[in-house]
Amino acid sequence: MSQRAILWGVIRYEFKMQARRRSLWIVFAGIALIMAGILPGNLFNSGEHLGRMTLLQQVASVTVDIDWLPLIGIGIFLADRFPRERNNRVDELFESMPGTLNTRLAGKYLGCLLGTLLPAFLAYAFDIGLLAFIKHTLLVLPLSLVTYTTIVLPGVCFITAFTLACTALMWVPLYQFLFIGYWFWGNLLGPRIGLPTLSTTILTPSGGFIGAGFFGSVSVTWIKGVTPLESLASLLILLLIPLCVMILFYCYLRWQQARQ
Amino acid sequence: MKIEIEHLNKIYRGDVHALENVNLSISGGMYGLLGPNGAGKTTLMRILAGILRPSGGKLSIGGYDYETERGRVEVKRLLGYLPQEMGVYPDLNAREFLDYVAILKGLDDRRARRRRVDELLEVVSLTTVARRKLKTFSGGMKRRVGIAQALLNDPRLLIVDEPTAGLDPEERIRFRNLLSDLGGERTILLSTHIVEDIAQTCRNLAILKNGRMVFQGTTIDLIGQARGKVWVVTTNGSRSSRPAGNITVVSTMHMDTSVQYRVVGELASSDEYEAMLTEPSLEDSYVWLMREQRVHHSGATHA
Repeated sequence: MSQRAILWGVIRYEFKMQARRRSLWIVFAGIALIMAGILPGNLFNSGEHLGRMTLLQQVASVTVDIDWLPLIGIGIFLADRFPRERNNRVDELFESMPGTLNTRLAGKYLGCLLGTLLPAFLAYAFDIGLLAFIKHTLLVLPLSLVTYTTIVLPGVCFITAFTLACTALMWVPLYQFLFIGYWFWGNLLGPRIGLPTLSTTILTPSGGFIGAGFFGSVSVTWIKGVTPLESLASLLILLLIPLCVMILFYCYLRWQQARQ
Repeated sequence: MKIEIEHLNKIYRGDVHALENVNLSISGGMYGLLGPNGAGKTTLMRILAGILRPSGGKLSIGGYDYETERGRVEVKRLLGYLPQEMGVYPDLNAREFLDYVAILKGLDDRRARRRRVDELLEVVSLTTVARRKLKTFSGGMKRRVGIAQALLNDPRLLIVDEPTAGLDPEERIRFRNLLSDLGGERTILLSTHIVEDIAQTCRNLAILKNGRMVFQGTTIDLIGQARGKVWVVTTNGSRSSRPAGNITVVSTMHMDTSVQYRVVGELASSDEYEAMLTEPSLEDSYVWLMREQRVHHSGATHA
C-alpha cells in the first residue's frame, strides 16, 4: 500500500465528483458567453493599443480581461467541497482508514482544483477560439496556453487553498459572500476610488500584475511599469501562499482531531 | 486478533467523562458490547477505530501499541469499521463509492479491487443496483453498502457500531446472519443497545453503563445472574391485581380475559395474581443487571 496510490485515487474521485456537477457546466457556459459578448468590445476599445502590441501581448491582455469572472466562479464552486465530508458524514469513516490526512487533503486540493478548472478552462478556450477567429491566426492557441498557465493558474491555486481552509471554519454561503466582496476589493478596485486595496500589489491573484510584467498586457489600467522580476515575485508568492495555507490547514485539522 | 484495554479513560471538553477506567480483554470471534444510550459504547468504538485518542490508559490491538502513530496505522490496515451514522457521497453510485473506499484502504491493484468490489456487492445483494446513485438508496441499502465497505480489505478486526438501528425486522435478521457468518474467521466487535442482536450472535459480551464496565463474561454468565429473579405473572387485568414488589416490568401482554406480565426483581406474594418463576432471557438478565447497578449507585449516593 502506498500513499501515492491513495493520493492518485483521491484526486481521481474528487475530480470526478466535482466535474460531474451540472450547475458547474451551466454557469461556466454562461460565463463563456458573457465574456465572448464583451470580447470584441474590448478588442475594439483598446484598438489603438492593440495596433502597437505583439500578438502575445494581445493574448495576455485578453486572458486578464476574460478571466476575472471565471475566477469568482471557481471560488464559489469550490466552497462546498470541504464541508461536504462533514455534512455527508464520511469524515469519520475515512479517518478509520490507513490513508493519511495529508494524503487525503492533498488529493482533495488537486482533485477539486482540476475538476473546477476543467469547465473554466473550456470556457476560456471557447473565448480564445473566438479571438483566433477575429485575429485570423491559429498562433493565438499556443500563446493562450502560455498566458493561461502563467496568469490564471497561480490565482486558481491561491483561491483553492483559501477556499478549502476558510470553509472549514466558516458557513459556506457567508464565505461565498465574503469571497465575492474580497475579489472586487482586492482585484478589481482601482486606486482612484480612494480605498486602500491589494489590487495594485503583487498580492493580487487576478493575474494583472503577472500579465503586465511578463507579457506587457494593458488590461488593468492602474498596473503600469511592472518589471518581469516583480511579476515573478507575484507568481511565486501566489504559489507559496497556498502552500503555506495548506500546511497551516493540515496542522489545524490535526490539532482539532487531537483535542476531540 | 487480541484486544487488550487497560484503565482506559476518555474525557471530553467540559469535563465530560465518557469512559472511566475501562478494562477489557477480547480474544476473537464475535464480541458484544451492550449498554444504554450514552453509556460510552460509541466512544469506545471510535477509540478502537483510531478516530479518537483516549485521555488515559493503555490499548493494544493484535500486539500493536495504539499510543504510537505507527501502531494506529498498522491497526487501521487490518480494520473494518462501520460507524453508527455512516455517510456516503450521494452523487457516487455503489460501485464507485466502494472503489473509492478500497483505494483509501490501500487496495492498489485495480483488477483485484474491481473483483473485490463485485464480490462484496454480491455478498450484500446489491449487484443489480450497483450503478444507481447512492442518494436513491434506502436506509437498509446504505447499511448494506456500509458492511460491504467495512469488508473490502478482508479485515481481521471488524468494528460495527449499532449496525441494525433503523432496519426493518427482515433486514435486521439478514444483517445478523451476515455478521455471524463473518465471525468465524475474525474478531467482530458489535456494539448495540438491542439485546436481541447480541443474544442471537455473541457468546461473549461486555456491558457499559455511564462510561464504566459493569459486566464482562459470557451470555450464560449474565443469564445465570438473573436466575430466580424473573417471573411470569398472570392477573385478571384489574388495577388492583397488578404485580407488586421491588420489580421492573419487562413486558405486558393483554390476553382475552387476563393480562400477563414478565417481571424482574423481588416479587411480592399476593392472592391477586398467579406468579411463576421462569428461565431468564438475555434481555431479562440485562434489565436485572441495570436494576442492580441503579440500586448500588443509589445506595452509594445515600451512604
